[in-house]
Amino acid sequence: MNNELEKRYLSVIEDNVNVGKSNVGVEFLILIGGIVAICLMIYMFADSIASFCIDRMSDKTQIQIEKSFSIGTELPTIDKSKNIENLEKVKKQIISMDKKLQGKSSFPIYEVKDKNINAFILPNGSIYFTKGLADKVQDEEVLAFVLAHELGHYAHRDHLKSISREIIASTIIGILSSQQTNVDLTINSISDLSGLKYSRKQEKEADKYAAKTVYKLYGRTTGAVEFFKLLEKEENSPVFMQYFSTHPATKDRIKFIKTVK
Amino acid sequence: MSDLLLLLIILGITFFTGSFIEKKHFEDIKKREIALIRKPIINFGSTTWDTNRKITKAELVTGEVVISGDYFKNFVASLKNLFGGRLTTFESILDRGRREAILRMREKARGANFIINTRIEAIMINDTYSKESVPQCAIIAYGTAITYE
Repeated sequence: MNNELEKRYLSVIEDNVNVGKSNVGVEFLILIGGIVAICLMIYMFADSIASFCIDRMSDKTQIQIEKSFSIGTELPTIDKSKNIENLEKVKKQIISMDKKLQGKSSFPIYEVKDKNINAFILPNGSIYFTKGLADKVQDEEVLAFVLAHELGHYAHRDHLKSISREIIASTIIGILSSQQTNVDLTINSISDLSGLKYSRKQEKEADKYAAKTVYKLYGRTTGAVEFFKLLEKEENSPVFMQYFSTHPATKDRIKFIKTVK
Repeated sequence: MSDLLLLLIILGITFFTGSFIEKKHFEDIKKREIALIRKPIINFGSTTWDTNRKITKAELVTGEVVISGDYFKNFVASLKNLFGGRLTTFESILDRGRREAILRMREKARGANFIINTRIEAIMINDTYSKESVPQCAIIAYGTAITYE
C-alpha cells in the first residue's frame, strides 16, 4: 500500500464525519431554554384567558364551583379567643360596604391551633385565624386589616384563579409527559415558581383592598403598618428567599400601604 | 425544588463521566484502527469477487458490541423529541458502537489476508414501548475472512 493512501485512511480516522461537532452541553442549555420559554408562554396565555373569564363569571357559577371544590376541606378548630370573637361586628361592616361579598357566603370565622402568625380563607368562604396571630395581636384595627385582606382575596376571586392555574399547569405537564418521561419533572418545578410570582401580585391587590377598607372604617391605616412591623420582627428569612415566598417582602408591603389613601 | 436540584446534580455528574468515558473510548478506537490500517476489509459479495490465488481458508468472523447512552445523553435526546432534528448525543454512541464492532471483527480475523462480504447490523435490545426503557443498541459486524496459501 502506498504512503498517500495510508495518509488518507489516517485522516479519515482522525476527522470523524459521522459524529456531530456541536457541543452537547450548549445544545442542552438551548433546548431547556426553549422548552421553558414555550411553557411559560402557553401558561401565561391560558392564565390570562382564565382570569378574564373568572372576572366575568356570574355569582351563581362561582358558588357552584366553590361548593364542588370545598368538599372535605374543613379543618379542626379550637375555641375562639375574645379578640377574634369581636371581629364578627367588623366583618358585617366590611360585607355591607362591598357588593362583591354580599349574598355568597356567611364567611364564618374560625381559629386553628398553630403557632405561626397566619390567616387564610378557603374557597367556600371560611376564614381561619391561627392561635399565634390571636395571641400576638390584640388591637382590633390590626385584626380588621387581616380580615379585610382575606376578604379582599375572596372579592377578587383569587381562590378561583389559583384553582384554574393549578389545572392549567397540570394540563401542560400532562401533555408533555405523555410523550416524555424525563421532561415532566423539570416542568413541574418551573410551573411552581411562576405560580408564586403571580400570587404575589394578588397579595398586593388584597393589601390594597384591605388598606382602603380599613381607611374607610377607622379613617387611618396605622393598624396595618403596625401589623407589618410586627411581622418584620417575627420573620428572619434572608433576602434571597423573597423570590420563593408567596407574599411580597414585608418592607415593600409597608411602603405600599403608606401610599394608599 | 428538591426534585429539580436532584435532576440537575444527576445530569451534571453524568455529563462529565459520560464525556470522559467517550473521550477515552474514541482514543482507544483510533489507536486500534491505526494499528490495523494495513488489513483491508471489503464489502463485496463473494460472487463479484474473484482471485487467481489459491485460498487455504475462508471462515466467518463476527464482532458484537452492546452500547447504551448515559443519563445525560438520554435526557437531551428526549428533549430533542419535542423539536426534532439531529440527535447528536446518539450519533456519537452509534459511531462508537459501529467502529468497535468492526474492530472486534477485524481483530478476530487474525492471520487472514482480508475480509470480504462485510455486513453490519444493528438492533434495539430493549423494550421500546416500556416507560422505563433505556436506549440500548446491539451492533453486529460479520464477514468472511480469506487466507491465501
